[in-house]
Amino acid sequence: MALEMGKPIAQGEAEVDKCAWVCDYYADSAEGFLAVQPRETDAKKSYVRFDPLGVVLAVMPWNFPFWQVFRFAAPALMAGNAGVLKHASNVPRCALQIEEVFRDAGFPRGLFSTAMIESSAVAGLIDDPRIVAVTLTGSELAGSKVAERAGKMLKKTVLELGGSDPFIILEDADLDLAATTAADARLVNSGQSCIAAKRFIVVEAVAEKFIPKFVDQLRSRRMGDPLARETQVGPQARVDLRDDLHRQVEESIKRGAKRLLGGEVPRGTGAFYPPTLLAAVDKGMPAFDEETFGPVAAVIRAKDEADAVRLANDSQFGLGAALWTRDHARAERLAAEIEAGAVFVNGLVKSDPRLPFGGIKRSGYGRELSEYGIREFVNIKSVWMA
Amino acid sequence: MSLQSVNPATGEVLETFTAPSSRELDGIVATSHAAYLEWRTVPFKARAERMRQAHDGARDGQADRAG
Repeated sequence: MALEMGKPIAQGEAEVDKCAWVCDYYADSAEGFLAVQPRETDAKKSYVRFDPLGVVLAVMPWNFPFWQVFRFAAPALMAGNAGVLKHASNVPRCALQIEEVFRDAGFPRGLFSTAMIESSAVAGLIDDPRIVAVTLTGSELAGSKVAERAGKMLKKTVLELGGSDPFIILEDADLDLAATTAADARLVNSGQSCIAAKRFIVVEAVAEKFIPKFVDQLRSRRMGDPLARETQVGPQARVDLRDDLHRQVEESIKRGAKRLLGGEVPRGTGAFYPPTLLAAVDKGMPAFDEETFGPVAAVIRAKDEADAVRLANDSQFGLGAALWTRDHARAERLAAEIEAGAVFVNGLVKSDPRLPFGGIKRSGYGRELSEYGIREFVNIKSVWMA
Repeated sequence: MSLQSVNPATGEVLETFTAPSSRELDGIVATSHAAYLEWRTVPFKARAERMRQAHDGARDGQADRAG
């Protein structure tokens, strides 16, 4: 991972641990999740059973090149399906290593295979009658194209797309912990995560206290060689992606955002981009309206709690959200109002095999992980006997 | 068609892979489909044994996979 897409090595090791966890989780839980469910009806006997569907095409991205594949493969294979992986074109070595893991584990030959194809070949695979469904984690554009093709063929899709997750700081938040976690949440995977916090919405009452703490935290993170154990922020995965991110920063500044940290392309080789903080961000700027897929934090001021929720929901995305307050009753009330697939209170948004994962709005549809994820690619079959 | 593995920290090309021909791709799908027909009949306990092997396999190569 470090060599192929720049993930700092300690974060890569943690990603492998998580892959192992999801294998164990579904090894232990799949049978229970897919157990026959008796139902009382007018029949002598009726029940629901969960049968596998067939070969599922998985179109996966480079940012968590192991985890995103395993979180599909572990439940899909345990449900009795097969998987064909079309991985991102910049992580072919990761793709082959994953195939090797499943091959060496003793699954039937080809049950999980990698197809080293370009994106242009995906449509042909979707059309193949032996492919019964598609799961995609990636960009809105890729998701839209795959869903369009699969829709034409009437094949099921699960889409996990982009996000512009809000990280809301209310006046009763623990500001020191919130600032540290905000930096962690923005810089995870060098900022290249769909569930990284991107819009930091802070109420006016504590904005002047929170912002300097956040700047200090972002400034303290070490950027450098992803193979060095002390590195916390590696390079961006590709130079063109780094340049796209920089354009979003420059355009936001042109429209009135204030650069408090970073925001300049470092000299030298590599796709590096420093932790960056933009203040006075507002609607109409790329840092608010678009997904910033790199270490760029956008700080937005809200008048009060209601304004903070309004700003959080004023996004085309709806993947995750973080909410900081010491009042748990308040947090639970607001969690119901936030338009997202997950709300984490006083913590950073993360995926967990025990919790369903996915979004609403332009962040996609369907769920991965937990019992909900394993039931996406099964035939939920009713059996009724007179 | 080829895919390249490039180190983003240095710009160095690590390896180049050739995409499968349409016949080879058909073979991948055919093998996968045949494996599915076998696998769907395998009881959960046996599936879980394989999945636990995958857990061990991922962990065993942790340094290689992260590096």
